[in-house]
Amino acid sequence: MKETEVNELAFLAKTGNGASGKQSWAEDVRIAAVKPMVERTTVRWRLAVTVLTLVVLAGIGAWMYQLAHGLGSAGYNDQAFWAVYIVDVIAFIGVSYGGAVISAILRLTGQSWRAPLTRLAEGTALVTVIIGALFIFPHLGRPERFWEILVYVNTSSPLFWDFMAIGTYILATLVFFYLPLIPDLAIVNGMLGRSRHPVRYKIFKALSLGWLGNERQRRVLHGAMSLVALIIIPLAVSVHSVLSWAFATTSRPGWAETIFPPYFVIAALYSGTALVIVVASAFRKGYHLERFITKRHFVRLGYVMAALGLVYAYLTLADLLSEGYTGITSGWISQTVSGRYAIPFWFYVLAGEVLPIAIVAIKRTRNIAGLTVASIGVVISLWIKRLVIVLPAATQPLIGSHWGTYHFTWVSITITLAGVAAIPLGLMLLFRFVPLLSIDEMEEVGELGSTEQVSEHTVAAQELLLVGAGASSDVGNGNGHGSTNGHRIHATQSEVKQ
Amino acid sequence: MKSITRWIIAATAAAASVLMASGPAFAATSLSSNSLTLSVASVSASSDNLILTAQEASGDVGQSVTFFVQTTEFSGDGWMAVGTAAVGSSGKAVYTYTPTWTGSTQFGAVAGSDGSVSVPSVTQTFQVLRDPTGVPQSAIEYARPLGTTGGWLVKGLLTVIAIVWILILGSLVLVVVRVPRLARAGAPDDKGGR
Repeated sequence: MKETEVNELAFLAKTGNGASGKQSWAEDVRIAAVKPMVERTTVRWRLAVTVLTLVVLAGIGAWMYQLAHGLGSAGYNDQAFWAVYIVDVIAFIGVSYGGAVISAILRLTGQSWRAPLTRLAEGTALVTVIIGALFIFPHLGRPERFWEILVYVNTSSPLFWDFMAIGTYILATLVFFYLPLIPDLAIVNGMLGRSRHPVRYKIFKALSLGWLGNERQRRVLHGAMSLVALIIIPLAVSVHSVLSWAFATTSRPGWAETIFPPYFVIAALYSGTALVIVVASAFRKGYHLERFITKRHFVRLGYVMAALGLVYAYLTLADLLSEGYTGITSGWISQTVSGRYAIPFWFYVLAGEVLPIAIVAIKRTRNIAGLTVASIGVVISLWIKRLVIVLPAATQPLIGSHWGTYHFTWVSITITLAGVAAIPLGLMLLFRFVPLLSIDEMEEVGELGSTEQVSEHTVAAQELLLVGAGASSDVGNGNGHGSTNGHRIHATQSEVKQ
Repeated sequence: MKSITRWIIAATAAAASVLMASGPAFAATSLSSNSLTLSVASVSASSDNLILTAQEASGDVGQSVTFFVQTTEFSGDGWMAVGTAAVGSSGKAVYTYTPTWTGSTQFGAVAGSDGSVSVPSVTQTFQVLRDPTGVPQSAIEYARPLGTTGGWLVKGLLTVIAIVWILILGSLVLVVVRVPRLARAGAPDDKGGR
């Protein structure tokens, strides 16, 4: 395809009419991906950003208050020494894994339907892991001494390994977000030119590394992307395992559990998949991506989410059953199931397991609205589930029989809400600067979004076109990574339409 | 095993600095401030709990007294409220507290309910000790099974992390170095310029 030079005014004029059926698939993709970067923000967008920013600022203010008045102002005490902030750390970093791992697995297995979702999933992974990592600071009683973890290394502390693992994961997430962006940055520069945003043009030019899209460049880029995707899966598993060991290596009943690493990892993937669905749903509606992100994407992600939900339900049962049966250290179990934490626990069972799985299982509710509701339920209830894991064990007395208590305060609530608000805020701002969709990948897989489907519908046409062109080896490899695969398939689709 | 590892809390007045080896509950020196006095004692030598007793000179029955422990971790001003108790017919407010750390610990009390007061009017320092007798340290500090292999484990884990970093950064460097070079070397093919 020849380079499409569209100046920004013409582009805006085109986008003013919306994505019409008269434009080609490639044009529609480009317009939808770049529109949030060039269009004037709407009143609703500005209002949303203002409100979210205020919530984040309120959270920072609450943290300042906590620094002045101590962790006690957040409801912490000597018998509830770990509480809401460690829950935030686990929950936010956990949802990050979902985005990264889902994207990595779909990439490695050549699932071309992933294309409209990858940028959103990887962006969500990046934003949430940064927010999750920042939650470590309110969790610390003496945050000004954080740097000492590097200076006075204590390798026998799980917290040191948490630091190493999370740091490594953040690096991998950043690289995993950047690499697929390289072709898109070149495309954006080609579309928008340098006249109105020379600074952005220069930055994109530097970051796109002189991308031309030739075969050898693609081979290098896809090789690197595959390697990082391959690394990020075991990395995500190991990082959340390490996070779970911060609990499991204590001698505290309810935490010292061998099941904790897979328990945490599955919870992370479960809630992470749910968050990808929520983000995809919100951005689909907010940025009019209905043509690209369809019911099919939600249903497939819904199946993944339901499968993970069942595994997590099994692990929850296994955790409760093995300790509850022996009764040796089961005080926290009775507190969880029928004691003071019974309401949040059963809320999780209902909103985090029964309803989402039922919604996915029932054909009538297995639609975009239903799956979005189910995913919201999963995200919220999995946060509550982490709270139910942390608090009963933390407040269980190791000496004596006096259970500790934890009460939420306005400080801990405000800081947590700030983290929640920071996710949409971070994503909305991120996609003011980078394309919302993975343009290059979407153009490669074509309008039907799947080389499998293309094969299904157009085998005969492909043979006619591609074998005739002497390039049959590129057909139907299923991963859309062939040097010219996308264009040949695209040509095929045009042919079929005609 | 439980009896060996169980923490036995003893408390004694810091001024006396006497390590109470064993024996029944002991009297603690009380400091008085205005109308309130505070005393701290262990329930018994083998108990986990301390009894914090505040006595109102006026003997105002029903008056709330808030008890505190000083900590730099949970409270910026150093005082963490641990609970409240009402003054009974004996003129005393009694609160049972289970300490969660050992060492020199300051306790405090003030007349008033939990929400309205944040600083005690009377304080007292005590030593909170583990059972000082009869229990070998090795029985309390378990011999960790990974103790001997830990050094190798640490080196192994650090090596794994280093390899992961090298692979990730290596992938990035490969792209950053090779892609511009390939752009300079060859003209775009059929996808060029996208």
